[in-house]
This record gives sequence, C-alpha cells and structure tokens, in this order.
Amino acid sequence: MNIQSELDTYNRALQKVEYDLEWSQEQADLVWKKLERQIYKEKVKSRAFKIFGYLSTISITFSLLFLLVIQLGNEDSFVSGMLSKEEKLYTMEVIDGKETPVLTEKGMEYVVYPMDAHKEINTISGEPFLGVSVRKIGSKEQIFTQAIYPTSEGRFISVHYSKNETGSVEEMSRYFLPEYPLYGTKVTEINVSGQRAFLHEPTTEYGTAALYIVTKKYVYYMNNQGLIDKQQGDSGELIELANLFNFEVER
Amino acid sequence: MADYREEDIHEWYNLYHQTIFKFIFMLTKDYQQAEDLTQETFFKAYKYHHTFKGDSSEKTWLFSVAHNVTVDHMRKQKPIRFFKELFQPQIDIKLLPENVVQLKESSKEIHEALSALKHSHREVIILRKIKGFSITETAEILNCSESKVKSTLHRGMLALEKRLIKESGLNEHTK
Repeated sequence: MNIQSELDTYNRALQKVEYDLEWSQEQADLVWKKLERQIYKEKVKSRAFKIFGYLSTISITFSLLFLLVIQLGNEDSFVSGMLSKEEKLYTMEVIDGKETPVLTEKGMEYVVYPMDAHKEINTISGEPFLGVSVRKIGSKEQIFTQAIYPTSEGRFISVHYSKNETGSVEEMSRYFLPEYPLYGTKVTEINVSGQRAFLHEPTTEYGTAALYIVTKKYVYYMNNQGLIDKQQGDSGELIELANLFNFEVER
Repeated sequence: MADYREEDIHEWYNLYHQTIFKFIFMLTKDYQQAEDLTQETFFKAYKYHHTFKGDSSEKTWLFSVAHNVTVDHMRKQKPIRFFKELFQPQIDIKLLPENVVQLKESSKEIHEALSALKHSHREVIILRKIKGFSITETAEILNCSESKVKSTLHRGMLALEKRLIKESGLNEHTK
C-alpha cells in the first residue's frame, strides 16, 4: 500500500469514529435537566446580587425582604408548556418499579407524532414507543414526548422536540440553515405539512441524515438512532414520516 | 421568561451535545467525567455568553470552551490521572455501559489506538480528522498557532500509524 492510500485509509477510519460512537439520548436529556437547574440557580443568584447591590444603601432587613420577593416572583415568570392543571394530560404510573408519566387519552390528543405510521411507511415495523418526560420549571410543568419508531432493518427513527424559545420561525430557522458551510453536511430547506424544515444529509461516506422542523412553538428533531447498518439513514423516509405529523394539535 | 442566553444554550445543546460529549469523552477516556464536563461546557457558555462575539461559528466557540473546561479539569486531576493511567492506559471498551455510550465494533481498534496517544496528539487528530475543523479553527480552539497545529498533527498521525501497526501485529501474533 502506498503512503497516500494508507493516509486515506486512516482518514476514513477516523472520520467513521464520530458516527460509530453514540451517547444515549436519555442520558443527554438527564444532563440537560441538570444544566437547566444549574442555569436557573445562576439566574436567581445573579439577580439577587444585582438587587443586593442596589439595596445595600438601605437596611439589611429591607434587602433580605426584597430578595425573598424577587425569588418568589421569578418562579412564576416561567411560561407553561402544553399542560394546565385543570386538564389531566398525564398520570404517574409505576412501571418496572419506577414512577413514570404516562399520557392520558386527553394527553394523546395533543401528540403530533402519528401512531399508525407503519401502515403508511413500509420500512416502519410497528407503533412507536412514546417516552414522556415532565419538566418542572418553578411552579409550572411542561410535558415533552419522544417517539421512537422501530424499523424492519433493526434501527430506530427518533423524534423529539424542544420549545422554540424565540417564538419566531424565521429566527429559529437560522440555526438550521447556517450561512457558513457545515463540514460533511448538505443542508436543504424543504416544506413538510406546511412547516419549514431543514434536511441535513451527510456528504461523506459516514453519517446519518437528520430532519429539523421549525414551527412557531417548537422545533422537532428527527434522525436515525441505534447501531445502524444503513449508515446514511434515509432522507425520504424521514420526510415521509414528517408529512404524517399533525401540527394542528400543537399547543 | 427565558432570556436570550438561555435560548441560545438550549438550541446549541440540541445541536451540539453529541459532538461535544464525544470530543470530551475521547479526551478524558471517562464517560462519567465526559457527562459532567459536557454540562460544565454548556454552563460556562451560558455564563460567558457575552464573550462570544460571533467572529467564529458558535460551534468553534463551544469547542474552545469544551477544550478549556476539559484541560482545566485534567490539570486538577493530574495526580489521580497518573495512577489511573498507569493501571488503565486505554479505554476499556468492555467497561462502557451500553445504555450510556455505544461504540461500533468497526471503530474499536482505531478508538483504542487513539486513546493511547499523547494528549496533545489526540486533541489535534480529533479536531482535524474526526470533527473536520480547518487548521485555522483548530488553532483557535486550542489557542495555538496554525504551524503548531500542522506539526502536531503530522507527529500525531505518525504516532497513530505506529500504534495501529503495532496493534495489528499483536493481533496477528495472538491469532
């Protein structure tokens, strides 16, 4: 083997490592929750410091009183997600000895993902597994769901979403359609069920396709997961599945 | 209401948590530390968000934060790490809990070879060859000159090649 082809072999093998290594999404979500709490504490702390500086000329008693008021006010300032206390959208059930949130019938009405995609798409082999997580932010609760669709090829299609904190499709879309080129990725803007979506397809031998859908309220992330044999993923399959989403029930 | 910094961090976490985690994991060779340091990276990015001027992409900036966080941590852990590496010089793939980190069989050999390299060689190879950053971006992330990146990469690739040849020789021998 000559030096150039040896180098090419090493380069390819190295490039492949990025795609052969995978951090569990469940674990990543746990880290995000911890990070959210850390940020929240930092916000409370920095606000308290600012206020404390301002009030330092007044008596300590007044300062402490103000801090308490601000901290309480802060808890209420978080926006609520799809849950309101009057409607029971989920119940807590013990599954495998663990308290787990499970969507009620009412809660299922607000699920954007299709439950019968396997009837429309040949490669999807059954109903999705629906993971539900409830985040408590201050005094408010927000429900997040993740759908994992099994495929006949042994891999999975994972879909989850997060809030579009900007509230603007235009602004959020900039994250997915960057002005600078993304290494090893071809980005194409498409339209799925009337929503702006961005298809990220690998241009190298390795990598998987991902589809991001931006709505005014949420951002949906779709990709292939698990130790997949079909390295490139299937862009057509992602688009087909996204077209079955019912964005009208978003709230 | 969430502030604009929190919005950015949320978005950046959604986009880059996998690649940042893998970068830190390949540097520290410890998935628990990698999880803690990934959290620390995004927290630092939140705290020092005002220092991001947009001269480079947010991805490059996040990698430089991740690199600094990891190097600081490793410096503090140096004596512990020394003993740890003495007894466990490479990542023992078998010890990785499958529900947390998965590594495909086809990449195990190169991953192990990479984990046995010097830290300075490893970080340049990860950034240039695995993550695909340009020489300029790599220099920015590592806070060094472009010529340093080029020379370290050259030496690192030679060391990696040597390690892989040695490993394949060992495998042949044990067959």
